Amino acid sequence: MISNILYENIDKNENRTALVEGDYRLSYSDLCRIINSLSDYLLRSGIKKGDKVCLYLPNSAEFVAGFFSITSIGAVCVPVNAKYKTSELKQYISYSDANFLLSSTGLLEVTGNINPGVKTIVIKGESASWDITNKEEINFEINESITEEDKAIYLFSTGSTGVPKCIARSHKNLLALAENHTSTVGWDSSDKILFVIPISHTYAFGNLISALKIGATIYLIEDFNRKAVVDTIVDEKITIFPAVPFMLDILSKYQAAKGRKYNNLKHVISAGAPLSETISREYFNTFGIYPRQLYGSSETGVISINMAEEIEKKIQSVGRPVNNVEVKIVDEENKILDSDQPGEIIVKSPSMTDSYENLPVESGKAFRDGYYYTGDIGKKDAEGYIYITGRKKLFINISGQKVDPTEVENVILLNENVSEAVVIGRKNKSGIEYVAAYIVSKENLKGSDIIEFCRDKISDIKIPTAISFVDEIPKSPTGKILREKLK
Amino acid sequence: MDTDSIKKRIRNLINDKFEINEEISDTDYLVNFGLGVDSVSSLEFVVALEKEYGLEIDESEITPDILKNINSISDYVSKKL
Repeated sequence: MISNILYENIDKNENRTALVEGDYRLSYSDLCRIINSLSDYLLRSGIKKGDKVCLYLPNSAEFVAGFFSITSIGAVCVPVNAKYKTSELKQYISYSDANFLLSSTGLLEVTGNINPGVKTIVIKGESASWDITNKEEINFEINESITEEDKAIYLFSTGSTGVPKCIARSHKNLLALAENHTSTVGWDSSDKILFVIPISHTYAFGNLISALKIGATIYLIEDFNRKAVVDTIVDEKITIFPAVPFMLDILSKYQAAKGRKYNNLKHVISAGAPLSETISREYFNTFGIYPRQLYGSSETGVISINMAEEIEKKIQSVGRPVNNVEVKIVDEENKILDSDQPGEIIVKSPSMTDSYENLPVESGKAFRDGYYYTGDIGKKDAEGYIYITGRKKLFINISGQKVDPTEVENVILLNENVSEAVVIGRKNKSGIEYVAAYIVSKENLKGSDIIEFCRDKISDIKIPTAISFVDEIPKSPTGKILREKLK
Repeated sequence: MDTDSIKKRIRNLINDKFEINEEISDTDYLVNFGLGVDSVSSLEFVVALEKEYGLEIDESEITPDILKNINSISDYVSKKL
């Protein structure tokens, strides 16, 4: 079971620091005591094995305790980004069939009006019904009927259909993920790993599980703030920093970051979105270390990471597959391609799921013969380094979070003065993607009308920041929208 | 630097960052033009402001009130200069 990774660390050194959040520090022993306490409380609150429990919290000790407590009961954890708005939270509750929601006082405005029949349990903040600081020892017995094959977590994959696909990963999948990742990158218990990327997201979550498996210390920051990140890296002697390209770009340009010593920083990871060579070199110029690209997906967990010794020569690569993971490049006929030939990337991994929940048709397309067909286009060089060159899917990548253009289009089309809308991703000079909308309007609309219309319907990152009104949307003779013509 | 030129430069930065193609008055709510809609675009704008005026800004100071309109950003920048 996934929580065993924590107890194994207690056996090695119970006083080792597991988690730091501001001034709040927990040893592995403390963390396990808190998880026992919360597991017991959740059980008494009515959560039982097989229930789906939404975990709607920012990066925090309560999030970490929430995940391990839910899974210790045998329930399925459904992490939801704490930036999502009520309508989106409702959708994720509905997609996952969740009947419980763990949240915080600060998010009650969002959670106050959620789906009927869903019980909200506040575990963080002033009105919390459970107290994380309670030092009482609770003798919680882990449900012995839980097996490694049981589902531990539901993650979501953004598609291009307007509805995210639900992915179940078992305890066994998560244990394999942590093993594959840590045995490849060589982290150890002396490492200090900074999480400012949301741990509700598959990329950060995978790194979090890996960090706790090897007994490292995790540092949690709720929101990205340049000063807080740089000061934490320097003052706390952070050794590993998983980030997204947007953060690396912003940090590289941060004047206060220049000239400081980053001697302890040994591994900066970039994932979630493609990292441009420009950002990579600028980051090196400021921090004296090249970011290493990691490639993964919600369906599979970590696929590859660039650990090349001569990083300058492989700077654009997402690296070679991590241990126990197999990657092939295939053509449209499913034939394996030679080195440097671009094709679809397919993956086989002990950390991956084998289907989407309740979506047999989509599952049949994406999961075949033990492989997951990623929809990403890429190639491998003669040394097996993978390069991502494109994607089959339509989604837009906003600082690591995938936005389905269809979802945004559907919201814009709710405006009765809009007759057609197409949403695409465009890139700025640094290669960072943003949401752009092309709209055919019936009335004399302004861009500001569209932004205002979208604001309470979708989360902030999905709202277009570039809006163009056009007379018509370019289409093929068969009526297919020619998105490439709009870029 | 006089207030009008500060406002003009801020207006140019907004037009450069957000492609809404509308005339923005000093009192228009900028959130309707994309500014402050999300933390990514807000931070990118802060970085652009720093570069434009050679300032060092702690983004935790940047509240929605500061990003409300061109007047409020201009007041903030004037105090920093």
